[in-house]
Amino acid sequence: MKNEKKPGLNLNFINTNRSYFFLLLILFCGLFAKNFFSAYNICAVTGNGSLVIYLGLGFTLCLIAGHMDLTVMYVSTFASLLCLGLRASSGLPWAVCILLATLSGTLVGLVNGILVTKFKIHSFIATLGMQFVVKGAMYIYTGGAELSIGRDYALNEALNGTVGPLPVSLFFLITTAVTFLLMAVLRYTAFGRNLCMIGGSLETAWLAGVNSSLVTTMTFIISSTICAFGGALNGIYSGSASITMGEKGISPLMIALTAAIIGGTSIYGGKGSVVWTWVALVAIAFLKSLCKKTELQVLVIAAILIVCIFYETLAKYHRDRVVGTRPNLRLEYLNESRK
Amino acid sequence: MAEGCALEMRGISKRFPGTLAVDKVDFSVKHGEIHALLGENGAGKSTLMKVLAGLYHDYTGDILIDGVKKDLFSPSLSKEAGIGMVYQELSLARRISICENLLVGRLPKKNALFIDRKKAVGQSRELLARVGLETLDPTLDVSEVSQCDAQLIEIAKVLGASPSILVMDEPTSALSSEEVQRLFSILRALKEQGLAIVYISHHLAEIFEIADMVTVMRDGRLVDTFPVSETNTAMLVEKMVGEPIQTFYAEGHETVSREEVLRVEDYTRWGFFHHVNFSLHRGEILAICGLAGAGRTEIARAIMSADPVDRGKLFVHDREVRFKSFGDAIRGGVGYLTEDRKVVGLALPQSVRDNVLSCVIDKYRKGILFDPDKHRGLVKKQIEEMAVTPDDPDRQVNSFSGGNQQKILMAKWLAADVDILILDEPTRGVDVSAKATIHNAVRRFAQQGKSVILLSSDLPEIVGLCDRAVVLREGHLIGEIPKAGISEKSLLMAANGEGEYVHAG
Amino acid sequence: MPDKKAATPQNTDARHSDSSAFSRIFNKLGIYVVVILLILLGMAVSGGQFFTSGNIQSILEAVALIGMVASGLIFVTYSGNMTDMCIPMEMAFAGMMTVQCINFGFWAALLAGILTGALIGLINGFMIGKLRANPIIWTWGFNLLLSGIVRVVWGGKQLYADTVAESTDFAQRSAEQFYSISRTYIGGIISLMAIVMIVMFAIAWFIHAKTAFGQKLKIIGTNYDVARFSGINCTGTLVLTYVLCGVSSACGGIFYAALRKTASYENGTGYDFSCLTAVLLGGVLLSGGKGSVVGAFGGVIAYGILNNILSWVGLGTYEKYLVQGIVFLFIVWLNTYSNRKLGKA
Repeated sequence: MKNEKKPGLNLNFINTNRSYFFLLLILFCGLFAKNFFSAYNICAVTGNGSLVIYLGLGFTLCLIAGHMDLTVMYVSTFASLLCLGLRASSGLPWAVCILLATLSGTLVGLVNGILVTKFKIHSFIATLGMQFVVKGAMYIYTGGAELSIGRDYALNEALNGTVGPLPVSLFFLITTAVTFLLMAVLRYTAFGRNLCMIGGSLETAWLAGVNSSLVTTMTFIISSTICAFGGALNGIYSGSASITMGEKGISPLMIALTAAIIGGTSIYGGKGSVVWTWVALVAIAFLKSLCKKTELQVLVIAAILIVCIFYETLAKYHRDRVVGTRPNLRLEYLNESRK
Repeated sequence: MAEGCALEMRGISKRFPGTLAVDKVDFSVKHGEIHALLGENGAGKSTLMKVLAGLYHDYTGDILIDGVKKDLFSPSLSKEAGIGMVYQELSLARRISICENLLVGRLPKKNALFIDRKKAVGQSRELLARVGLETLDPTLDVSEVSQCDAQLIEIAKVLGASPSILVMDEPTSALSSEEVQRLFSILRALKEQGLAIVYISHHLAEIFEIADMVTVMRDGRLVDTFPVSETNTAMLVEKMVGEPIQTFYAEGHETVSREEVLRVEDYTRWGFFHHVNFSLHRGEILAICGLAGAGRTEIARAIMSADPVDRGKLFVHDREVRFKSFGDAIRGGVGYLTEDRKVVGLALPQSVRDNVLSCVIDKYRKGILFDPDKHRGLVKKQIEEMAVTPDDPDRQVNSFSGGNQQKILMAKWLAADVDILILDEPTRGVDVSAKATIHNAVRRFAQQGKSVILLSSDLPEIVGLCDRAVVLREGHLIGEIPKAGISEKSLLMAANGEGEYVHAG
Repeated sequence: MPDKKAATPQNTDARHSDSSAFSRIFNKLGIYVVVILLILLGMAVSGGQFFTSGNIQSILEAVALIGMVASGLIFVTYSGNMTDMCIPMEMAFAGMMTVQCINFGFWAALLAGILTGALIGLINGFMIGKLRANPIIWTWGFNLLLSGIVRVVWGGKQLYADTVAESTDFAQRSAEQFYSISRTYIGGIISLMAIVMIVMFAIAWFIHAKTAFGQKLKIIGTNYDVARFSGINCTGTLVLTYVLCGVSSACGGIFYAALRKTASYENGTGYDFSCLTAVLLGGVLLSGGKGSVVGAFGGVIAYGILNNILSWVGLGTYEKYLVQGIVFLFIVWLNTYSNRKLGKA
């Protein structure tokens, strides 16, 4: 039964576009901060916040398909280590290093996909375990050392540099481009629609002959590949990489999860958008620059997350209570209540 | 075999570990024929159709589509062979639009990568028109349409793959009589177009109306195949059961008293049922009859407080009550045997004992303690009375057949020791002998001075069991039929809003 | 014609079951076979050093904390809600509260910590039991919120009982008492922590096997709707489930803080993973409604011994992660596989 259009404030509209409202709110708060809208600040904030956008994209993609991917963080860390390590040890051109690092993510995504589709392990659990496998593998590769790009500045400067008149780094632009590319895939390709269908109802998809195993595995592969790509680029962008990246403060995985949910992707799968996650992550990046204290950041972000989860849970609770109304009777009710 | 056979299944067998579900069955359907497949639960007809659907890769025997042998080892192979399956449980994704549901897996593409939305909407409109839903907006989510429309969308979806063989499994379960007629006219039109249709149903009346041929299965084997015109109800039932029809229904009883045990006044839940009034007497088996979707289950759920009630009062033993929870209702003496035993009725992976005791944990607890072993006697007694076979209380419920599972569900509610029991389709999908056992248990229950409200769309069941019937149509109580007037015809007429027992307004 | 009355529908039935007594017992106690194998492996790998009192004590120490938390986690997994992602903060928050309240005396501080865990469990139980929130996402998000609260309230700092305690005799003695709980050995040999763990498991076994609550949880874990339509008070039962998990995590967190002499928001990191591994190892099915406390106990011991063996083999922390991850995946696969063999619909 469609919602009757109410005049004035439409809660549905606010809810669907809450990521944009969130960003607007943060930008509004930024008006009161010093140097907030300076080109330097915008460039730095968006650039530093780009890595987690990749994680958010991967996580959102999996969430829409009805799964969770906990390996996003370590996959990107591994890729950044691999990229810098390969460059340092073998002097291969950057493009090759980035490619190989990205492929490491593809491999992990493939394993995740197989665990979920072939071994029928719940994705949360499967990626929970894989997380540790990747973490351990990372260590074995680097022996715990931190890697840096040394004197190899060229690409680093390019990524850090701005493009044209826009006050954002090249890295951020690439990230945004990836986001919109992913959005196009989700919305306009058969694969993308099948992905949403799997999240909406696995049975429907299976009965229709959609190869849900393939689509699910591809989802995990794309997710991990994107994260690895982002990690590799981030290693070059920031000039260094280490295993313990992101272990202080809020775990980037939590930020990705939070942004996906705050952004509006449904925790039940089927509905969502990577663009919303992008917007939410940009907002969070600016929030972090506004509020330097880690403790406060965690509190604010978590509070918003809880509100979103609570709202979605409550909405589903109420929805489940009224499912199944008959149209003729509803009309009767409206007539009677008007008397 | 015969020419013009769209589908021919020869000597099909399917074995599961420990059982032979289908034993060398021959089954064939011609082009332009509606062929009904009949059999009790456990007869093997569902398994036979699952073989056709490509759900098993290890069946033996041959399947020929238009004379060509095909190996149907996966659902996609089955679809490619031109077989369309319309399942009882809807296969639609509720949060996704109708259009995408209809065209899932075959969305029209603009080029190699991108889909063509306009074309998709156009194609879905065409499909919807084939089932009479041309005014429905295909961009709506499935969750936004009624159950009846969703069922028709399901059928449209299957038709969209242009099958040459259509298999329909209990397609009318959620349809009103108008929709059933609409469905039948669609099926007849498809028949004219040369489709071969397999129609599975328990409703013998439907089969006489729509089918050309009927095949009866029993215990995994083929019993007989003949034209519908050469048979009647009694003959069919005999073939299904293997016993003369006399054992179908036992005699009635006279235990109804005048004492009122339950009454609802102006019971209303907006959008589901409006201004319902009826009362139940001690020792009475009262039927609330009506077509699917009339609101019977909703009334039962409302009484049990599983759903909220917007207006009206409920009186149990002449005291007004408002149950606060399901458990509260049970403590108040009212029980509810739910419609679907697999989904909300039984905890399938658990033992019979755990299931039978699941309503009475709080009743038989000693302080915080509860030991299921101490209640073996009670459990044994119940499953013996319900003739559950094998009568092993430690066995997992999902290892029993459908009929036995239903008996276990019945045993659970008998063990709950309530005064008033609401039964929702207590013998749906159940074989004839289990049906008889359950009916006898219901009668015994009433004879003990307790009362029953029976929600059923199985008309012979109501005729054979009930003392009185109230008729629900589209959420309104439109009539009452005393015992003398109860017959399949009067029930069906009243459920459709006609006949002498329906009062105006 | 077969006699209809005697004919068991079973032989035309498509379903099969594997409920023979042997397989049921094996599923319950099979983990102990694994334990014995691991002990043998440990003896081989440690060059005879396995059964030294030092080694046994270090195994028990690690096992004790995981065991305490696992004894409560069992109920959450058994209820079909997979796991409680609030365990890290239940542990950490309880530790912080206990240390913060040390001035009110040892027992009062202990109570404060335990109540904290109970309160967190209460909120979780309400959200998941009444409002049917997604158990993973809710507890994970709530864990983050609690982490934020703890960080803000205590300014991201760590607490030490002896510094929090005022200079009164009473307070200082309470702090000493607090530190001692993780260092006490009954009869000089058995650690108090191990005893507390065993007692908690005994209580958990009793609750699971002998109480009405345990029986209700079995149905809820199998199918929430079936439980609801059998008149079981699902909300109340699930609230109690999460409270149990909160309380046992709080216990673990308090002993942890006492052991490390530090209370911090980071105490408890990683316990959600290791306790879940132990519980699954012990045969409690992720899907709910199946499993035993006795089995879970075996799982905890097996987990501890496994870690011990990994140390003997010379693996560092990160290499252990790799192995733990692989072992975890293997166990989960086994868990899922045996679930389907048991004929769950």
